[in-house]
Amino acid sequence: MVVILGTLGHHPETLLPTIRSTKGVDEVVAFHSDHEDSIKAVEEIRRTCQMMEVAFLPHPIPDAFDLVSTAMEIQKTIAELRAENKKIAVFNIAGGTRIMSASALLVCTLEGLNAVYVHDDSHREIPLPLLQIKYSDILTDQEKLILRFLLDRKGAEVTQRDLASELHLHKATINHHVQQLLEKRAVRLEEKEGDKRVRLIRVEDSMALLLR
Amino acid sequence: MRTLICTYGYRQDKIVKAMRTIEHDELVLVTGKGNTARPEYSRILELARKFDTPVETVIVDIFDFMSCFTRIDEIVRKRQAAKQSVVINISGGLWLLSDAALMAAMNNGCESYYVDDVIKKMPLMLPVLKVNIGERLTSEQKETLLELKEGMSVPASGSPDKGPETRLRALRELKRMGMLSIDTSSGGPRVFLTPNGRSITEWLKR
Repeated sequence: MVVILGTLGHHPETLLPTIRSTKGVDEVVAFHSDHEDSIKAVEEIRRTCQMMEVAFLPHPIPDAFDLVSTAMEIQKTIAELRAENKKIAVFNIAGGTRIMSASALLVCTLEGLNAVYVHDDSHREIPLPLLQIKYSDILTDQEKLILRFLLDRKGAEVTQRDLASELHLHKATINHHVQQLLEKRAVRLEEKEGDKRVRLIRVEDSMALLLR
Repeated sequence: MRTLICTYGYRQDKIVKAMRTIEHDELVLVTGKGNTARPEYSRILELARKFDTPVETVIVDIFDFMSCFTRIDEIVRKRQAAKQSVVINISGGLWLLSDAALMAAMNNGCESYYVDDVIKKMPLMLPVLKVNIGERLTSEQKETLLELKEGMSVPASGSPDKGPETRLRALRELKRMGMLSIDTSSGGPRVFLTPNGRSITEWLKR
């Protein structure tokens, strides 16, 4: 089953070129906000899909102004589609709010999906130069394990010693992986308040998107 | 030297907040024609002057995604080639400009942020690792892309000093990544770049 995804704002015409150009499309999934004009655009796409006998799944985004939660929502939908063995042909990122479009582009890069935008005047689809490999492949399994551990203990003070003891790994092994994570800018070190000798390992919340 | 590249529309608050929260030595504003005539732009320049921060303004066609991306990509790569670090704030301007900046950031492995009033924790650091698109490909994959001529037959594709197995493996991987297509309609299999493969090859050549 071939699926196309798209962010949808007030103008249904941003998504139409992709519906028209994708060979053998069976399903269209559109991410949209609850804005009145977006709902109108959803109805327009629904009518087009009905005429084409293509399934249409509108997917409301609860907070179209929150980049991380929007990206997580899109990522979750992609995981569900993949679990159902559906083939995602392309993601059209041309519609919706700035946050929705940026979230979609971010997720396309993270998930290794084909992405297109549509030129405003010509309505021509422009493919974006993204690699179709998972972004998280940059991280090793051990690096992901450490990141997951840190994200699960959000805000807690974690040192390399804590990591070694909790993950049952040698201190030198942990040090190597932490250095690699620092090199890749996935984590940062912070001096502990009141004790400058202790270096805490910190991770940004948005790094959770790399592990989904 | 640390350069902060900001996409800019007309709202000065997004730039000022980025200037306050993201460490930088130089500011590059990427914006559309006309935005530099606004009083908000003059106020940003005035603030930068007070802090002795050099400002470069780059005018782009904000309705053309690929030209915005290419221009920002050039700014980033020029600085990276000079061993300068680059930070990108994607929160100003049209969504198209933001997306182009985000793509340039991800392709070049730049530290990136989103700065806005609606974000609780500001600035929001985006999950962009310090790895560029070329570093995500193996040397065989890069070599194959760079040496590939459209319509080449499969055994001839890639570098002549590599064994056929190495070349075939790289071709298979690139095909799986959606960068190549194989056409068998006119005799032996021939290799073609997909639009995506062409864009990435152009990026590698730049």
